[in-house]
Amino acid sequence: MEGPPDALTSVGTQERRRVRRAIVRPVNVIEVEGLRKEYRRLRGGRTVAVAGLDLEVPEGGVFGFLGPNGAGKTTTIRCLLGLVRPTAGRLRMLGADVPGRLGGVIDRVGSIVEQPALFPRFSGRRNLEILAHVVGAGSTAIDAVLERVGLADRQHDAVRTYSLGMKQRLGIAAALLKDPGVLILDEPANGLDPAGIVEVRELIRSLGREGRTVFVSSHILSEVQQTADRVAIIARGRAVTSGAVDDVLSTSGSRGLLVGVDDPAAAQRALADAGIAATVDTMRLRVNLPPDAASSVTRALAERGIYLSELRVDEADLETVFLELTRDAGVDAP
Amino acid sequence: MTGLIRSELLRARSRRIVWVLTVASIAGIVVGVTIAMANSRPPTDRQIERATAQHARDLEGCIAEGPYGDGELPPGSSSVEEYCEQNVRIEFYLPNDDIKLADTPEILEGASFMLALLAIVLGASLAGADWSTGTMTTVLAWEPRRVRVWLVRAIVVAAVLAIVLVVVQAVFTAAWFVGTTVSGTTETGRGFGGSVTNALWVGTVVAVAFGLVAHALASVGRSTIAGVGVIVGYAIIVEGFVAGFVEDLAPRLLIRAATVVISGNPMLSRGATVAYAPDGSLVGTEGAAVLLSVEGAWVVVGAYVVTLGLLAIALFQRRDVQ
Repeated sequence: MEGPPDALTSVGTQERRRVRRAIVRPVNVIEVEGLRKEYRRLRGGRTVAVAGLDLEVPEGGVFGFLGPNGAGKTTTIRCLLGLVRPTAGRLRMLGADVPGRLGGVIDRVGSIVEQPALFPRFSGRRNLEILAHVVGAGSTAIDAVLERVGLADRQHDAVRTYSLGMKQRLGIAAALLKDPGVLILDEPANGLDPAGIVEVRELIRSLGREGRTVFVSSHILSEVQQTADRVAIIARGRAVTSGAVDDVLSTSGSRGLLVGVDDPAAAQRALADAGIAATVDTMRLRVNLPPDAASSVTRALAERGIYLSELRVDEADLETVFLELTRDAGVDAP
Repeated sequence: MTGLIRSELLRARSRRIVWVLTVASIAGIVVGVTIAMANSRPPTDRQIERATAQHARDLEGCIAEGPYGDGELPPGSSSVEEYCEQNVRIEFYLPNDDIKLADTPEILEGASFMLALLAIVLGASLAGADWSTGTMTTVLAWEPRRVRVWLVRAIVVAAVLAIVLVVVQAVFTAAWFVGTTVSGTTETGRGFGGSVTNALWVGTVVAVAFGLVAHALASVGRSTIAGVGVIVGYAIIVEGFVAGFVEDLAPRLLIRAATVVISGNPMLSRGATVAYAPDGSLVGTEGAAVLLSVEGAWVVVGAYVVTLGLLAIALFQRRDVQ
């Protein structure tokens, strides 16, 4: 008989366990366990940037890494890229320990940390050429990434003449030069105009669809909700939740129905008479019933001659969940 | 590794400061030689005729009677003929109002510290720019093995500096040759080519060493100004002030050791009586202790480069990059 069980008979017990784990568990391209980073202050004492963060990023798709300013997102990314040494904890990327073995996998990791750091007096193309040499990428690859981010016609201009959005796109082009399996983008929509935000959003989505893992940190929640498949929310250096976007949204619980009427106070009384609790929320009523009970609301109001101008499920969005979770963690919203 | 070297070479080649300083140095040479040519007054045929006759008489007399008239030789000389040929030279009999090709090695020696200054600025800039622009983050996101990054950069800096310095000196030598041919004296003594080559490579190596020291200091201080500033501060405070009070310290100091290397003469204790040949080489000493030999000076210069390089690597490896 052929297949994995037979194949496993020729390897050691430890290796068999490793292979079995890989078979039954999803592959994580990024694993962070108990990450802690402290900075010493000049006048004594320490600032804790990351306080015991645990994080698992599965392979493929877009992973949103959310948190308010100062939550530890950039510090975590710097630790992942070996730029900053953790005070404690363990990091792995593409199966390699970071920072010790990072050099072995870095060719498969593209990244932008905060603003893309490029030589301002060099042209966009020259900046890419310098980086392309490191991984042996040729001019065809440079042409391709410039085309992809829409900078082909400005490639010979000095980077200092680029807008912030163009620099951001050039940074993404640089990250794509490696044809990476993992892309780490720190606040990629920062400073972009609405058109630039849409462009970057589409780019991130398409990269995720190609099977790459795109790890995007952001405090612009609507952006992440539109692009990410999974998210982790951190506050004060710790993860407060993580998982598929829908699962995270569901942690907010059912938020009921929103009912639009001309006279909310009269509608509230009519619903109370029918045994349905409702609260007035500006010009609407918020009814604490599941979506499949909407008919009982319409019936109760219609019987009193009150007709609806709006009836919809009050869905939680990422911003609401984020605010709830970060408020619980005792931090300010972004 | 090869890719990283190519990347660093392209980066260094693309830096404007490398080209600006190289072109400025060449422009300075051209202007300087042009001014020297304009002020040069080559000897007339009559002056040459008189000088040649006088030189021939004195040389003959020197060989016949010895330098002191008693046949005795000064220390360091192996024969009367050799001593006289070295010390009774035709140029001593000619008016010294013209530029001379024979001066090339001395001028190159004298220009060594200008070259070192050029190397210091370039060496520091090639390290400091990455910190001021934040591109060190990008570099390390592409190659996180920091020791490798630092060593490759040091090799590239040394190579770029060597090329720039050789080009600048070659341009000077060529310009000086043209200048002395057009408006000066082109006679040279024996071993002229060797002296020029020696001055050129010693000047290059010493300047590259200074450039690497500045590179290491800029890497530690994470700025170009730190690299240049520390060397200037060191030159003023340690070499200029402290060493004046502590003689024992002098043989361990970078600039003094570099001076020994460039001049080719050892550092001697105070109060010594020394004799120099016309070409500047030491031919005799009396009552002097050698504080630092030329070979020892090479070791001191090398020790500075290696020690500061290791310090820079250790800190680069250990510190966070924000």
